[in-house]
Amino acid sequence: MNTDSQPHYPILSNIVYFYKYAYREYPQLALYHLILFAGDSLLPFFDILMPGIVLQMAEQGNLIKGLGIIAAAGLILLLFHSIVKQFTWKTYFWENTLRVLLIGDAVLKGTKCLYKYVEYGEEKKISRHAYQNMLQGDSGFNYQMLRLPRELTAHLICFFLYSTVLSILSPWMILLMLVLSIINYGILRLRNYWELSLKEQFAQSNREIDYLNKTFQNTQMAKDIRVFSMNHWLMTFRKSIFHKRLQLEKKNNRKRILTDFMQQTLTLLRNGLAYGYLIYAVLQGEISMAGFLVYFGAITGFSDFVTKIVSICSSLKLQNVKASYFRAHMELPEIHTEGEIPPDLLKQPAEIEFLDVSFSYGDQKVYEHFNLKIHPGEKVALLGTNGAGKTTLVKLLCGLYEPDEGKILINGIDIATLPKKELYHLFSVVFQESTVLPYPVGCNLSYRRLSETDEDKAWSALRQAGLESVFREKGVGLDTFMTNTSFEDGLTLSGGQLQRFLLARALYKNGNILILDEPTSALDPIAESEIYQEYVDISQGRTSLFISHRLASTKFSDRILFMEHGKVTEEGTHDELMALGGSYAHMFEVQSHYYTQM
Amino acid sequence: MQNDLTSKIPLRENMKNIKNIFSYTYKIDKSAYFLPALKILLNAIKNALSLVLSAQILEMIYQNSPMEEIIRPVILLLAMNFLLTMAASVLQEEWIGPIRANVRRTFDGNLAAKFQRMDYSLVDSPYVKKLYERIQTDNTWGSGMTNIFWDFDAIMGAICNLVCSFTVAFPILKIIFTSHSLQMYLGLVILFCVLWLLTLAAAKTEAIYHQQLLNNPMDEYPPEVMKEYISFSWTWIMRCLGGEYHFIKDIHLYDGHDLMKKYTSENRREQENLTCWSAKSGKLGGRLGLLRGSTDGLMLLAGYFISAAYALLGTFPIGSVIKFAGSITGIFRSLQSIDANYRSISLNARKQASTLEMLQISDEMYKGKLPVEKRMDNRYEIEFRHVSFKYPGTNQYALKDFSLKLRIGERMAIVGMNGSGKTTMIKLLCRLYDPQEGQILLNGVDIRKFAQDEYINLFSVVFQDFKLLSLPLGQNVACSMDVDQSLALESLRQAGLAQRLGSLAHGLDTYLYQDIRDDGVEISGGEAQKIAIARALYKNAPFVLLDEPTASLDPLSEYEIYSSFDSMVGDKTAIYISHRLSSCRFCDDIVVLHEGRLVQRGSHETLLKEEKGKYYQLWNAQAQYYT
Repeated sequence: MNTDSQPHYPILSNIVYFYKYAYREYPQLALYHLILFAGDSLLPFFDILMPGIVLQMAEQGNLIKGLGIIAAAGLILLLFHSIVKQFTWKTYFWENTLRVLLIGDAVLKGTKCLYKYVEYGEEKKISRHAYQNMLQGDSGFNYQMLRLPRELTAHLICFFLYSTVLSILSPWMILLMLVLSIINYGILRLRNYWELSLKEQFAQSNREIDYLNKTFQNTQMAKDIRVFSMNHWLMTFRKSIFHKRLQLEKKNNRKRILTDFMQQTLTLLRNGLAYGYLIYAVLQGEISMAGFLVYFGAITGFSDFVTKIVSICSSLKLQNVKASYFRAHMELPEIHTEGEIPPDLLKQPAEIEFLDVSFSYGDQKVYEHFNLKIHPGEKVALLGTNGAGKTTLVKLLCGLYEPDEGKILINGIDIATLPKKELYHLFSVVFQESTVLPYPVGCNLSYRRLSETDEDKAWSALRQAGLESVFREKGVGLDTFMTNTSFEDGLTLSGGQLQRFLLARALYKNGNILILDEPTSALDPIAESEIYQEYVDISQGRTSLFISHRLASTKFSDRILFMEHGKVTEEGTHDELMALGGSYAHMFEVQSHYYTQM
Repeated sequence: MQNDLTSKIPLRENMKNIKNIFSYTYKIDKSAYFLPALKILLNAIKNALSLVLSAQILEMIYQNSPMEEIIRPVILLLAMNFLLTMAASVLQEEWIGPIRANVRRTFDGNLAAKFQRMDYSLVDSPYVKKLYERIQTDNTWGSGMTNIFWDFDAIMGAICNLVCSFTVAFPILKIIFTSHSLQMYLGLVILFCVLWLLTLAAAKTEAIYHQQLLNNPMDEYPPEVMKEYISFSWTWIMRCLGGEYHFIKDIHLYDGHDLMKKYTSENRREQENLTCWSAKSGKLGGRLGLLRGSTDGLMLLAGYFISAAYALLGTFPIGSVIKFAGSITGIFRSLQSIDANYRSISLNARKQASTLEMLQISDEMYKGKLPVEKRMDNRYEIEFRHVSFKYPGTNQYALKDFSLKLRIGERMAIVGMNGSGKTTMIKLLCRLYDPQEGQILLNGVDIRKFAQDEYINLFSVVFQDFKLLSLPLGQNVACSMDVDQSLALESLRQAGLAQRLGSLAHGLDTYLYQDIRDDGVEISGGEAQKIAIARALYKNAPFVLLDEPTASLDPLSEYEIYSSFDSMVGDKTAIYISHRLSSCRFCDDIVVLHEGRLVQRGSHETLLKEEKGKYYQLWNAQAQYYT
């Protein structure tokens, strides 16, 4: 992926991409599209032909034959209307079904590409744009990229049909129509240009309005809003953004009135010329009255089609920009799953080494030439102030992030050379912010399908994490759904239980390296103390890393690393660091100060 | 609440639904209905004029009138077309479009804002949750105010067109009805019946179609099957779109892609195989289209056929055949459209009933009116008297027979395990809920008797799960658009943000986060906490409540805050909740809660002496690591 934040694919290539996608998923759409191409282009043609036929028949004055022909033509028209409408609805439904399917596929893709794309960098913007643009219902690109080309095709066919009709009348007429169409095209371009010039302002306004509504709907805001009487503030804000929006719409619409005026003037000119010429032709006996009607219909229709073709083209151009984000998202590089694993990698307990590692988020440097060695089986506590880069270190080690420079070695093997899947396999991690998925208990433990979850292993992990008895008591099984997202009787966990559950998940995975990132901050002292005890038990025989604000955790560790601004500033055992009297000792004093003055 | 759209509802209820949605939006802006009606009238006049004038032109050509004469109606036609179209365009773009967009925004916005304008106890209640879910399903697949406006316009348009078409077609109608031709009458009756049946069938199909779209395809299956094939696509999508990515990290590390696939696309496919929901819906949609298409076609055919028949019989000049055909079709169309759109608006109004129900939820808590006495000395006394409380929809007491008197101007700590009722106590104190038993008294008066907006001014609270908004820093501190600059700066400084504030280019006007501004600043959890504390200080209320305000701070920042808190709080009454019992050492008074009851109260030293007490146990769980 290059660093250009706006991905671009040619329109045609995107159209092919989406149509292929559609026909692969719903082959019946191909048939529907064919029917609509024919129907949508012939129907308007029949509509202008019909008055001509009626008038012709009325002129001929043969009652039975006349009515017979009108009835026959009318029935064909009726049939066309029915078929076209039927397939329009069907097509709309299936194209929209695909729209929803695309959203699901995009999210799935997000779980397959490199993790760093999810969290930072240009790629994050690509994915964000792709997601945002998909959620606009049937005005989103995920429907429009199917609709617009379909309608464009039908209109182009119409355009040629009408041109043929008019060229029978007079080639000059076609020329005149084309000139008028080019002027019309100019007006439409102007209109688009004006609308685009306000695009940013509209986007900003939408952003503000959406944010405000989301804030109002957020039930987690409810306490703060009431205690601080924020409603007045928010409603004043709402008034100001609504007012701004109204002015913006008016500003935009006034320009539309101007272009409407230009277009209507053009229509006036066109219709005047058409009437003048056709009336003249009829009076001269060049065409019949029926011909007059059909030609007049064709002239007005012709310019309508030109207008539509132009406006579809410009919408297509806009939608293509959005569709390109989607495609760029779908084509982001995925993690490697295949590759050779050197046997040394799995040597237990593992040794970890950071060699001259540098890393930055954008412009913000987190690590510069960072070095660290963790010995096999060592229990390391990682401490430091907020923002010292502790979690980043974990993410680098697991391969979620990749260093800008330097190497990270596990058992002497550079992790950059490993397939990600195998690398991930080495770790059991509990992060500060973790999510329980609305899936069954078993799936949440194993992150596999229920059928692939080892039941004994699952219960034993729950037992070790101290949850077995609670679950058994509640009658919770591995197939019980968690959270009440979809089932009201779903299992919900308290803060302490959640931490234990995440621990159980790490235990089930039984990775060679155990990492816990602040798992106890939301727990009461007793639960916290119990978690510490369990941690000691399960870290036996494993290399492990423990991150915590609570210095008590350091008592269990073989070595303490104290980090400040991306550097290890102090290291050693608790006693050594206390003796050193540096930042660690200060931090410990501050915290223990309350507890020791008994 | 009626959920099945295909079921019949009584006419009165139907009219009530329609009236409700109109009167609610009418109150927002009347012109959202008047101006479109005017525009529709202009359009109908334009159409009728076109029919009449074009017929006149045709007629004149037939009569071989000279060019100069024919040109007159042509010019009139062109000019009228131009003027009326422009008038409609100005009406639409200058007024109707923006006004209606504004009504829609206000309507949607009011629904969102309703969450913060109802009793707190209702926000999380099962009733509101269910209702909100209902609103969401009622508004999927294209619904909401846009459709109501469309229906309104369609009906108004049909009425105007009916009048115009009738006027234009009057001569031929007169001929038909005075002809005393039995075949003609019969033919017309049959035609009307067929059209009516088609409209009826289309309306019925539409209701079934909409119901089908609303149905969860899995609902008909037993729970085991439902659980096996449930799909969570939507949950993930909303999370990803909301910018949440923590769960993606877990999916990577625990290799959960295959599991996600099962519960996203794979189960969707399985569901489809099992229920054929999409296939059925697609077919229904097709049927609906077919019915509408044939109705349209039939009306066209009938118009042409009837007028051609009379023209061929010589009842009127040939030049009028198209005019009559158009106006007869127009009459059919208008009648059909009035019928179809009445059904459509009934359906849409019915779907909006849930939204209106939500908008009109009335509060359930007693609203007192007593003003709260302003005291400069902050001598407010609060007492809990035998308070018991259960959360709505639960059976367990969150607080049981709880009595407590707060000492004015003192620091009190509340400690206890998770779920012991600490936060509940704060919520009751702020009157977010009313207790089921017992009373909470302010200076001896039940707090229910006070006006809530005055009563709540007594409290500054920093909740554990406090929230800041993506609006300017200063407004976040002041909770208002009008920011007292110096007070805001002072509060932020006191909360320990002086340094960070200095690094912000726009100072108090800096936007927090990047939800609405790209130049907004990202703030860490610790900074957010400090801003929340500054917000509480700015409010300058006599009671300051801190519900675990320092959980995400590192020990040094925590120390900074704790050590300066005493001076920040001044002569106010402060209540702390913290898991870090060290904070208790600041307090003169410690209250220990266990399972919703007050079990111990006293100073740190006295409580620690009771070796069997809860406090001793909690303290030692932490202190053991430090001694």
